[in-house]
Order: sequence, then structure tokens, then C-alpha cells
Amino acid sequence: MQFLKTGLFSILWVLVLTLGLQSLNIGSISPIPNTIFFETGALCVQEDCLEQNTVELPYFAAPRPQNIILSDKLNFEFDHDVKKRDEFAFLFPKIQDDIALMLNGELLRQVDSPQRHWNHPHLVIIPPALLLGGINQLTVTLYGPAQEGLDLQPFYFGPANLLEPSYTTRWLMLIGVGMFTFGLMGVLFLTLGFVWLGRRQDRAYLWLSLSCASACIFLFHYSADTSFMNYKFWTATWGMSVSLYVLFIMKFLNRLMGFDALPLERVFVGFLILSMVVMAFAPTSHIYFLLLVVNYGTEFFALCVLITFWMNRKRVNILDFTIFYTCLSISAALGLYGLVQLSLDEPLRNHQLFHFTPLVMAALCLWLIMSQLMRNLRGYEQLNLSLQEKVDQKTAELALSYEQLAKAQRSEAVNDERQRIMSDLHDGIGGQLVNTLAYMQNNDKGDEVMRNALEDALRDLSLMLDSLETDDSIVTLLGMLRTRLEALLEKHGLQFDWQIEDEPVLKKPSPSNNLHLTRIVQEAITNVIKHANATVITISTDSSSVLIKDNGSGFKLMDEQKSGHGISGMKRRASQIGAHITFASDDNGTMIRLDLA
Amino acid sequence: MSADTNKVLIVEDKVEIASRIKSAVEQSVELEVSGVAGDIDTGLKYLFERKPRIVLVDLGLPDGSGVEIINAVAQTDWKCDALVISIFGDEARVIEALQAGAKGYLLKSGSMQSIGEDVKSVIEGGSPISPQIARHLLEMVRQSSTSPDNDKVVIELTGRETEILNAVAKGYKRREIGEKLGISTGTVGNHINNIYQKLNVGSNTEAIAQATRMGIL
Repeated sequence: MQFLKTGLFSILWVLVLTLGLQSLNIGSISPIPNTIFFETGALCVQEDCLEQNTVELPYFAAPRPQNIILSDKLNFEFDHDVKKRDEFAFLFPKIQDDIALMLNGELLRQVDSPQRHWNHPHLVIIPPALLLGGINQLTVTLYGPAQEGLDLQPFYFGPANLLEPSYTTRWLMLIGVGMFTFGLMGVLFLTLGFVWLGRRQDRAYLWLSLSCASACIFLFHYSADTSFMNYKFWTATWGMSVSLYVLFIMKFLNRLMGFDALPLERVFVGFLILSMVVMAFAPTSHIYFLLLVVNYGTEFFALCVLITFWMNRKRVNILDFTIFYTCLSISAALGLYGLVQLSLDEPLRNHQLFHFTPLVMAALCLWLIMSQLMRNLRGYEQLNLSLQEKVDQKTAELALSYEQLAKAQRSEAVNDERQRIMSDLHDGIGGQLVNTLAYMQNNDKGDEVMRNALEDALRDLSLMLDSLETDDSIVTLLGMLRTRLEALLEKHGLQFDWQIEDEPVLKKPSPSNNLHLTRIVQEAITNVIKHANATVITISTDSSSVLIKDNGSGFKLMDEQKSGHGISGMKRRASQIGAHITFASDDNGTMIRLDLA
Repeated sequence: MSADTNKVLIVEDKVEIASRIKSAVEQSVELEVSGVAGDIDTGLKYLFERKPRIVLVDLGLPDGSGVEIINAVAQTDWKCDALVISIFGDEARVIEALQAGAKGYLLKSGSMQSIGEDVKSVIEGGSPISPQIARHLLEMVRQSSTSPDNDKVVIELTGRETEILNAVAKGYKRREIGEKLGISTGTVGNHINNIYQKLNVGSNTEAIAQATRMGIL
């Protein structure tokens, strides 16, 4: 239903366009000032011209299904003033197919074997000797294949310079445009063919190239003499070339626009194969009639392309659609217009326009290719952009994973090395220290100083190992420090007031910086044990500071620095971890504060 | 030997250390050292001959690792607990020992005076735990909850248990934790035992072995 409605609309639209072309009356033949305009003549009934009938121009001899060359002889009379010095000529805007001319009994234009000049205008210069003063007699003999009939449109006699512009215009519009388009189609055929060879997966270019080749064939018929070829062969060939042209254009558009019109294509191909077979076996006399039938069929398929396109209009952007539909319907109208002129016994118009169709379609196809190229370029740029983004993202991910891998490898290497050192310390120096200490305790040997020194060494070793084991948590490191020092504190009558809360955050956390911090705390505790006469050591933390406080007797800063209570060592370590250390001491005890932020 | 005396076996190759530990243990009247072995062979022999309640094991023995002893202890048909005695409590070895079924570890650096008390607390059902081990247990819990593909080791601690483990990791003692939370020291100990149980430390070596394979420990 939808198809019918769209079809009806498209057919009406093409009819309107065709009527429009008709009404433009392109190539109408009208009198030119200061020239003689021939509109009536005498048609010889017999070869000898004994009997003549008056005829109005344009004169048509109706086509008939006979494989012969028709010829009709017409006589004209005109007045001439020999005093005029100009070069004189006859201008025949349209004849079909060839003419022989006799002026006052002398041969002006001879026809040995008639040429196919059905679309050509003729400007025949008259040697001055042939013109008489007063009445002149002109005999025009028309030649042409019977299948296509004869045609003599009104013609002119006058000064050549007055007729030439009209001749040139008509020649350019018909033969000039035909030849130009023929050349253009030839170039496009080769160019697009090479494009297709370069990228064979895209058949669109192959079809477009072949459509150009087909156009070359019928354009040759429109612009050159084809009488050297067998009439039946050539008529079938150029007739089919029009159909193939439409088929290839249809295939091209379907590929390019992504339409699913395969069934239509198949029907069309079937129709063409059938046509070719029929034409091959048909008698020469009927070949032109068949050509017209096939081309009406082709016109129908061209309309189907139009309808398909209309129904798929949502898949194409509005600009493409407008240009496409306009060009396609104009082409269909040009085809219909041409066909009507060819098939009427007495054509309404004498000027062919069908050879403009390839130009219109070439412009359309080039536009479509350009527009798709632009779209592809835009898509390509977008793809590039998103690819670039993806590459950037993946690069970043890769860099990150490399970093993590390197980190993991480093930490594994560090771990292995740590384990090795730990085993060595445990079984070697650690074992020796503990054994020696145990020996001293068991046998009550060695003095206190020596024992303390050994115990200090053991604790220091433990601290180092703890900092390696617990490299990510300062509070746990301090916890381990407490575990190690608890017995020593008890021995000196000291207690911890443990106020560890938040994990202190160092500016640059690392095992060695954690160790520095723990050593500062250890040093502070050792100082309290040795010098402070305190009973309680308070250790507290928050995220930005560590506090060590005792309730001992305090010390004078200056004195203590001299006597070396490790204060300079603590300051050095504090600066290494980027922390600020402050000391405060009075009779109620000492407070050491580490500010980390 | 009185009825409530507990036998302690010491497996330690360094003579002076062994002797020091022995005297430290004997400070407690409830404890009796039933033997001191200097290598694995002797240690295993004494273990089955004398059936001690507690075995203190050094890991670095001349004829192998003390873990062999711990494995044997885990399979005894009488109640027997193994404790690692370590100089530094180095993580890898302690974890290995816990995998084998050790109840915990004791530091032998320093005065060793508290060894007797620690042994008694184990007999009473406690589990010695250090800040480092607590931190590692917390890490284990965190990892098991964030890796859903390893659903075999889903460890869920109660809020209280996590609180206690966090405090231990910060260096707080059981008594202090009890005071802070308003519960008794014993209750804190029970919580820690429960945590050990949940984590299958000491009772389910497979879980720890798996955790180790997973890279948690």
C-alpha cells in the first residue's frame, strides 16, 4: 500500500517534470531575421518527381518495420538577390538521418551511403557560382533507416554569418555536450575502475565505473556517426547500454546507501537478460521497436529506484536526500522525455536532452561520494580521537601496572633480602648475644655494664628487625618496642602509660624513616630510664605528633646537651624524617614532642 | 611431682640459653622441667617418653627445624601445647610455627623472667600474641573480606574482637585493654582465644597454609 502510494507520487512527480521539460520547448526552430525560413515544400510522390504534394515542415516519414533505407525527395523554391556579396549557406537544424542537396540542378551535398546524423545540425556553405539571381530550385533528399522514419525540420537559407551562431549553439547543445560527456564518462570509467581495483571489497565503485562505461556507449550514439556499424547490432547495443546504465546506477546507489533492494535488482537483471535474448533473435526490421519497449521497461525500473529511495529517506540525511531525489527524478524525466520523442511518429520536440542525464547523475554520484567521504573522514577523526583516548588510557594503565609490578618486584626482593638477613641475625649474632647473656646470668659472671651493653645491643637489633617486619605501621612498631622494653622498665620500677591512638603519618613513609622515629622514642625512653628518676613514661600519638613524657626530675637543656643524652642524635633523626622536635623540662618531668606535619 | 604440676620440655640447642630458660621456668612452683633436648631426635624421644604438658621449641636446631617437634605435638594423644621460643619473634618463622600448630611464641631475648608466667597463661588457655601478629591477623581478615573469589577463608570478627585486635596491634596489654573496654583481663584473653579459633590458628593448619598460599601471611 505504502509502495503504491509512494509509486503513484513518484510517477506523478516525474510526469510533472517531463511536462515541465516539454514546456521549456528547448531547441525550438523559429525564423531568423534576414534569412529565408523554409516551412513548406513539395514532396515527390515518385523518384522522378512528376507528381508532387505540398507538405508543411516539419516533415516526418513514419517509421515502418522494414529493414531498408528510406529516402524521400522534397523540392523548395526561393528568391535570391545576387547583388549581395555575402557567403550564403543553408542551415538544417535537424534532419533524420542524412540529406543530399541539389541546388539548381547542381550537386551541393552528395550522399553515397547515408550517415547516421540523426542528432546533428548541418550548415552547408553554398559556392557562389551555384546561386542564381531570382528563383532558385533546391532539392532535398532524406535518407534513413525505415525503422526510425525520416524527419526534416524547418530550415534556413541566408548569409552564413547570420546562420552560424544558431548552428553553433545547437551543435554545442547536442553534439558538443554529448562529446564532452562521452569524454568525461570515459575518464570516470577509468578512474573509478582503478579506485575499485585498489579496494575491491567496495563494489560501489565498480558499479559506478561500469555505469560510466555504459553511458559512453549511448553517448557515442548521440554524438557520432554510427553508420559504419551493423544497424541491428548497434541499435541493440546502445539501447541495452541505457538499460545497463540504469542498472549499474541502481546497484551503486544500493551499495552506497546500504539499501536492501536486492529483489528489485534481480527482477531488473532478469528483464534485461530476457530483452537481450529477444533482441538477439528478433528480425532487424523490428529491432528499433524492441529498443523502445526495453527502454520503457528501463524507465519503469528507474522509477522503482526513485520509489525505493523515497521509502528509505529516513536513512539518509536531509541534504543528501534533497540533492539525490532531485537529480534522480530529473534524470528519470529526461529519460522519459527522450523516449517520448523517439517513439512518437511525429515528435513534439526536435531537440534531444537525454545526453544530459549522465552529467546530472555524475554530479549526483560525485556529491554522494564526497559527502560519504566527508562523513568517513569525520568518523575516522572521531575514531582516531577515541583510539587516542583509549591508547592514552591503556598507556596510563600499563604504566601503572608496570609501576605496581616494579614495586612488587622491589618489595619481593627486599623481602627476600630481609628474610636472609633476619635468619643470619637470628642464628648468628642474635643467638650469640642471647647465649652470652644467658651464660652471664646462669653463672652470675660479668659486670652490670657489660650485661647492659649486651642487652642494649640485643634490643637495638630487635628494633631494627621490627622496623623491617612492620614497615607500614608506626603504632605496631611502637607496640613491639614496648614489648621489648617492658621487662627493662619493670627492672627499673617504671611503667608505661600507653596512649597510642592514631597512626602518625610521616611526610615520607619508609621503613628507614619509621625506624628513625622509633629510635627517637627509644632514645627518649632510655634517657628516662637512665636519668629521670621517674615512675611513669607516657607515650601518646595522634596523626600528626608523637609525645614522650615522664614524671621525673627533669633536666636542664644546656647541661644535658653537653653531657650527651642523645638529644643531638634525636634532633638529627627528626630532621631526617622532616619532623620538628621540641624539648620541655622542669621539676615535674620532661616532655619531648615530635611534630610530623 | 604433685598432681597440679605441669611438665615442661625444652628443646634448645644452645646450652646456656637452655639452662637459662630452665631456671626461669623453675621459678614457678607449678611448673617442672621434665627434660632439655638439644636436637630434634632427642626432643621427639623425650616428648613421647615423658608426655609433657608444654613444649618450648627453638626453631633453629642442629638436625633441622623445630617445626617437626611442633607437628608431633599437634598429634599427641594427651593434652600438650607447643610454644616457640624465639629471639626476635620474626614473622616468617612464627607463622610457620603457627601453621604447624604452635600456640604462640615467647621472646627469649631480655631477662626471660616472664617465661614462667607466659607458660602458665598458655596452660590456662591463653594465647600469647604480639602487636605484629595482631596486625597480620587484621590484615588477614581484611584480605579475606575483599577477595570474594577465595570464599573458603571467610573470616568474620565481631566488633569487639576487631577492637581488641586493633588495641593489641598498638601495643596495649590485656589488662589495659580490659580497663579501656570495661571488661576483665580474662575476658580479653577469651576474646583473643576466640579470634585464634576463628582464624584457625593452631587448630586448623590447612587454613593457615591456604592463607599463606594466598599471600595473606
